[in-house]
Amino acid sequence: MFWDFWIEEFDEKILLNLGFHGVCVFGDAQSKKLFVLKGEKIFAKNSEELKIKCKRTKADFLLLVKPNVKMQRVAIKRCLVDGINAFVKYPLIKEMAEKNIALVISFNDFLNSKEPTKTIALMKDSIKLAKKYKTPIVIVSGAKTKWELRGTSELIAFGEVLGLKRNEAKAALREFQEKIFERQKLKKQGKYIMPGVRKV
Amino acid sequence: MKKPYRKRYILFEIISDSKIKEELIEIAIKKAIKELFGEFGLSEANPKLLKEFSKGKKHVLCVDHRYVQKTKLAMAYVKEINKKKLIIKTIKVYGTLKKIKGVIK
Repeated sequence: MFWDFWIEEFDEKILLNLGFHGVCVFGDAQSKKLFVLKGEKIFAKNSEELKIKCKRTKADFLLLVKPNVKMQRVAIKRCLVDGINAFVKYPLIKEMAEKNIALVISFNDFLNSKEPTKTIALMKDSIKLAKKYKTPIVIVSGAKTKWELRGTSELIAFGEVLGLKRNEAKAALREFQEKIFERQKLKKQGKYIMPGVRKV
Repeated sequence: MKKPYRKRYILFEIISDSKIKEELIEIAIKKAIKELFGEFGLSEANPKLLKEFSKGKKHVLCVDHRYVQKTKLAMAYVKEINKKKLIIKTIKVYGTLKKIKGVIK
């Protein structure tokens, strides 16, 4: 079961054709054929804004987009988000692994980059560290329009070019996402209390 | 003994609102490979669109076996052709033309 965890325009027909079983939409979407989660992007200039935005939201998946190092540190230490879309470096990426926060690699960053070679180099660095410290990696299309959506095999190839093995690239499209989906299921049933605590 | 250069055939589909000519698709893919992996990469990948296997929106691209993943990435890097937006979706990679004939017909 493959997931695309960052979509802004939802098109059920194309997504099914591209081989996805579930998506996380940063907007409104409903589907009978696909599993749909609601995500929210968080942009923050200072730590207080970040804390307020994270507490107020009721989204299933929280993604911190393009934060500076200070924001990355606050979000990771306080475990405020589920994923970070940035080029995270050494001490923080290790802490991300401990707190189970995913490193989100967006294909759209590469697709619409002015310097794709530089972007790939930075992504490769982050992935190398993430592999070393066993931080969860999530590869997403990051599509803002339906024409920016990409298929599962293209995203797997993207992962492989970035330095992942084939099974690791496949896992980047499903493992962490399935955990989030299960958490969402538990939340709906009222069994989820907080990370590590659930009703039995 | 294994040959050093083995061919792979990528069966792909174009998702777009309008029809796009095969020649333009081949040019766009070659341009993307050149942009990402350079002239040397393009000469090693040696991509060729097999026009006799094109059917509707499905096409076949022949590449070197070492460049399958990189070619897939380059294909995903194609955003538009002649200002027409499109998505290139890889269906499957085949090792022989015999198998691909069975799938397309």
